[in-house]
Amino acid sequence: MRNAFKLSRAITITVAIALLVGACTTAPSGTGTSPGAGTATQPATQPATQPATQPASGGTLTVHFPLKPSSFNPLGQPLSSNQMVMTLVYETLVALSPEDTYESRIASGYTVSTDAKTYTFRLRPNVKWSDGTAFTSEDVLFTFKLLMTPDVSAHAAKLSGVKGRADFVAGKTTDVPGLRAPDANTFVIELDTPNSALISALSWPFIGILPKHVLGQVAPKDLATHRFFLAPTTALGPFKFVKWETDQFVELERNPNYWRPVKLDRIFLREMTADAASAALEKGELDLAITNAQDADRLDRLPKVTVDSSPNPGINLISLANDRPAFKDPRVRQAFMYAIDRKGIIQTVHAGRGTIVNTHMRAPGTVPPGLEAYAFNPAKARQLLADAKWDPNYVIKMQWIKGVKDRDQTNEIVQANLAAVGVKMVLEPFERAPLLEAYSKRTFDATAYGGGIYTIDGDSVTVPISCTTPYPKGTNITHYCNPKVDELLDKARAISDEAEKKRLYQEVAKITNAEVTNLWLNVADTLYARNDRVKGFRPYGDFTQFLLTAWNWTVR
Amino acid sequence: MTRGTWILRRLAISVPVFFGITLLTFTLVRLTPGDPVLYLIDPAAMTGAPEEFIAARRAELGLDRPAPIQYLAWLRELGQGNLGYSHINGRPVLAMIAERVEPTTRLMGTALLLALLIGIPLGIVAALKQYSVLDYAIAVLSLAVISAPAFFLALGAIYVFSLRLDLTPIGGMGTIGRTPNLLDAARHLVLPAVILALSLTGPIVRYTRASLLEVLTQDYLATARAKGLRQRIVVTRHALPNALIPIISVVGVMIPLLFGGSVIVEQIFSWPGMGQLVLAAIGQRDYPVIMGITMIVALLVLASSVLTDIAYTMVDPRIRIA
Repeated sequence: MRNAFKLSRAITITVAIALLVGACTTAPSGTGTSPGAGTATQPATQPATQPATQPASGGTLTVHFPLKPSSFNPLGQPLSSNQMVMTLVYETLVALSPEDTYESRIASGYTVSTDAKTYTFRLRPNVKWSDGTAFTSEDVLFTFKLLMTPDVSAHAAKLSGVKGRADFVAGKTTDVPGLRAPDANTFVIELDTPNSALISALSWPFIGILPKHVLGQVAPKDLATHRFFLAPTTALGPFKFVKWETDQFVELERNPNYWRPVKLDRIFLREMTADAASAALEKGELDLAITNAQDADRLDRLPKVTVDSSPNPGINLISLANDRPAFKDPRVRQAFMYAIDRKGIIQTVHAGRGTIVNTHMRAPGTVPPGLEAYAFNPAKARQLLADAKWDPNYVIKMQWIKGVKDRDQTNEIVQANLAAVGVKMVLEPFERAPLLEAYSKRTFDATAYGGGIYTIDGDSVTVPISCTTPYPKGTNITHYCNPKVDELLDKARAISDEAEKKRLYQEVAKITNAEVTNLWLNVADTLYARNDRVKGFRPYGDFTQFLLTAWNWTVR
Repeated sequence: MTRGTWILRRLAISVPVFFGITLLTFTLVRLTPGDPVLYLIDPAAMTGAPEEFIAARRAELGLDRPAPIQYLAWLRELGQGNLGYSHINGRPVLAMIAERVEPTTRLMGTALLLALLIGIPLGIVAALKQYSVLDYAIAVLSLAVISAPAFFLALGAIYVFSLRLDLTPIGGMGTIGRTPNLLDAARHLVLPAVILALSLTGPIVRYTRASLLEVLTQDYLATARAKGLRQRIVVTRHALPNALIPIISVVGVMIPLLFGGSVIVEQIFSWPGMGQLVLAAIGQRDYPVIMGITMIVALLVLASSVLTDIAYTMVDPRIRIA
């Protein structure tokens, strides 16, 4: 018995310590995510295809990996750490640029029919995979068929409008009339219903094209755990996978067959905690890391380190369980907006590096003038709460994943701000797994997070606010539902008249601003600290994609 | 009873204890809130997942079956030497653990050795110079390292030795991109091993001191002195061998402590050991990996406790097998 006791005690200690440390792991500040994007009859910005002459050695880049990767499967759920590697070894049709525009990648351009039903992509000719096999439209067709298969792909909803999808998914046919490869360098997507936001949906998260000659014979059900996704050695992207030493680093080397010359010889993505990364950057062991407002100024003062920033395309916000009786009345949510000193949060938490937003809409021309600004006004908040008959004894449980410094501090300020207007809130740090379960089971009151890419296409606000995408079907965590809003979004998706689309998105902005779907806090800058050796770096607002331009960097 | 049958009986008792542990771990892990399938659906990623995708994942991982069936299925696989596959990326759990054995042994072995090499001499000195300034200084020091949290010591050490003095690297097991060599490996090992060792040194000092003091008061030492033996011989030949016996059991108890401590130290020094693996697995609710590691650790701890007991009977003839 003595041994049994000793042993169980040992395990209890191990697990308890593990849980404790787990609760303290750090994630990068800000966030990245979500579809953005596009209008589209014109081709995307067009870099010229270069001959495959290789430039001189561009050096080795060592970059911080803020979170642990799990597997590099473009069909799976987009976790940011996996995405960082995938943007380097895979290639996509069209990607987002650091300037919030579309950039052509393996598709040199695309056209959209006036009815927004047919998308034709021109693929770059004479491109080879890193193993020397020719890349053709068959690879794209193969990938898109898999993307459309619901039990294989987490992105199936993006392609729900493709012609003939239902029969394909039901297994009646292996052919999809809406996905075609008429010649080696052309790929066509045809939709049943118009969708002018398809490019937006396809350009985020980064969905890489898969090698048909490697995976074509694998049964779809075996794909999720296929070993290729642990070591994707056949690359179409700028770098080839070399190895992944778990909990240490991922090593990549230049892909000589990339469709344009790659400068860097090698990239190491190093796994370490944020504190260690700061120290390693100072010592010159790391070249580049995502950082936060608290550390940025200190790092910027170091002689060989420069801090770059770019506004996050997403939003830092608090989501309430809007379907709960306590939060159903929009006046309650409005009161919370007035009660929170959002300007103060930007000053104290983000060192002034951020701006306030009052709607999810951020794409050019979609934010109408005259939206309620919800300026800090505790008196008004108290009045609204009284009108809505807020129960002062109700205690709001704020549940979030602790470890992102600015978010942890923000929650403390929010708690104090709400207490000042007579609203009680307790802070309950959660681990990721139980928190997501709480979203699903609707046992939470409030949660704080950030993310999204709302800066390109108004359609990207659909997932977080539509009636059709309650978590976990989509990421509408509040379960906000207003059929009128859905109707406007559907209508905008179906037309390609830019002016009319913007008018519809402005309508959505007005309604959601008044009903306060979420408590929008701010848009903070995404900050990167880099050694001055790194040349050619361009800061992305979305940190999951900042390595998309690494093919053109050098480290000397 | 002969020593052979005693050992066999000792081993036989370990079997139900082992299964008890697996059942307990399985139950505890399943009672923890969190769903490994939902874990993958990032709220910030704004994509969500079709119901078919969630259902397919659940079925594929066998999570749609009742918990007792899942446990039995796990046991059956275990019987065939299969620890299962990670829920997160489908890698065989055995392979994931196997690649951690070398780094973990390197770190823990060095730490344990260091702890003994520092702790025992200090304990002896403290006992021989009881109530002297030296004794008090050692007491304060060992209490300090027992009380100071490992993460604090680790971050402090990184600041001083890596950043300010530039003597050691920030973390990892070797300079990446360079062929491994002994010097490089030692430079990476020294800080994490010392920090991990410190947490064990305190108890070893205290145990050694107490044990030696107890032995020193015993009659047979008075006899030794009466024979005219010099104090040095009395201590080294007669007192120490007996005083160190309890330290064997202390080392046995320390194996689980080492695992606990390494979780934190590995995390801070980016050391790719078992601790980091279990930490990630718990965070991701990767049931097969948690179960696999618990099982291995349980086996190790059971084995170390059996070995301790056996070693005890060998070094101390007074301990009878009954």
